Amino acid sequence: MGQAEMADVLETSGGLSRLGDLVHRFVLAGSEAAHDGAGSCGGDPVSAALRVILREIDETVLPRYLTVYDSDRPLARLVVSNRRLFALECEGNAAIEAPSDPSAAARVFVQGLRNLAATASALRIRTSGRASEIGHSGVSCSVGHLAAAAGLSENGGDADRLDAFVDQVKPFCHGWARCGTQDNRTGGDAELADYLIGLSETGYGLAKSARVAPARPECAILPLPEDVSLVVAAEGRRRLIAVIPTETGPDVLSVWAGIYRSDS
Amino acid sequence: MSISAHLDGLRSAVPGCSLVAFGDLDARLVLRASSARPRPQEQLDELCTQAASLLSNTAGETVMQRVFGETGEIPTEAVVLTPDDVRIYVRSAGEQADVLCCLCDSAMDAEGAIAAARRVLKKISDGQ
Repeated sequence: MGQAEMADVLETSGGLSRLGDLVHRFVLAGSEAAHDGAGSCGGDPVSAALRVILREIDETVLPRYLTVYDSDRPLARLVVSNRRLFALECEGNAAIEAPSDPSAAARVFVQGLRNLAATASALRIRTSGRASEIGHSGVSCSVGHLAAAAGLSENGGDADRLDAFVDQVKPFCHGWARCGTQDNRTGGDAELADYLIGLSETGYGLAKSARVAPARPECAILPLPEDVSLVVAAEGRRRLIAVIPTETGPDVLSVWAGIYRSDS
Repeated sequence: MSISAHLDGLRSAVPGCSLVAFGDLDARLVLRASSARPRPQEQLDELCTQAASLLSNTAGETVMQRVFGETGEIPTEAVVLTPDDVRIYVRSAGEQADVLCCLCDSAMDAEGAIAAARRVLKKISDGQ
């Protein structure tokens, strides 16, 4: 394809689409707003690092060793499977023995994880192989249990971020519904929120072939008639479906980018 | 001009675009793709499946009409942000079966990519 044809491809006869215009304004809003959004949900550095660790655990389904590094220096190895923490082995120390009581085990694990989060100035986590032995005691803790023990969230690490997203964007919404958990939450216009729950229950925006919830968070935005847009944000099994004025789309996208795109 | 040439041109023309795929929403099948490097079929399938999940009328008519307006029409384009990339989906307005998927590395490219994809999709649908 020649230069002229490339220019023809990029030509925008008839004006930009509404969504294109929206994204354009989002881009103009720029990374400054995104960074503001990240700062508003990050909390103290240790808690932020702890959330990172919990998120890695929550995204690990198969038996894996996760090694926690401070920059390039290994600090500890986690044994994780089925989104649960089975063991924590700190470098140079014996593996932390978790009590058989789940709540006590969560507290012990969280103490160890907090020490890691406080120690590491440049925390990194890498998968370091398939876990051949899944704990000796058989005790394991879900991310929700660990997060609750850490005082981060009632529902878990991923819910913490999605709920932070919901809290920040709901002022923009005509109506919204946070679904995928036993405690669906809605806001805005009640009738619209009911329809959004109905839309969620049809599986809209979810791949029907997916056997498990998508590991990566996603946020889709789609233009609708009457200058409104539909927002479908998902993390794990939890989703936010909302209808927003199209003009607020850049703000919603900025909030999402601030919370999630700082991962990359 | 072949479909492959259209896709190659679109990918070259949009900065930061690493993949363009042309698919059929009804069949949920990628028919042609242009990529700088080989892509596993699973990734192409995932893109087409996501496009279908957003741009096909998979929900009941009443819900669609309530949510998407009196005509019940579903959107013809979507932008999906992930922590790693930006996916742009543009569906043909008429047949509602053809779709173009663009994988970009930044939302900075979304505006031009949407408009360019819309034009290329029309050309493909018109057989140009």
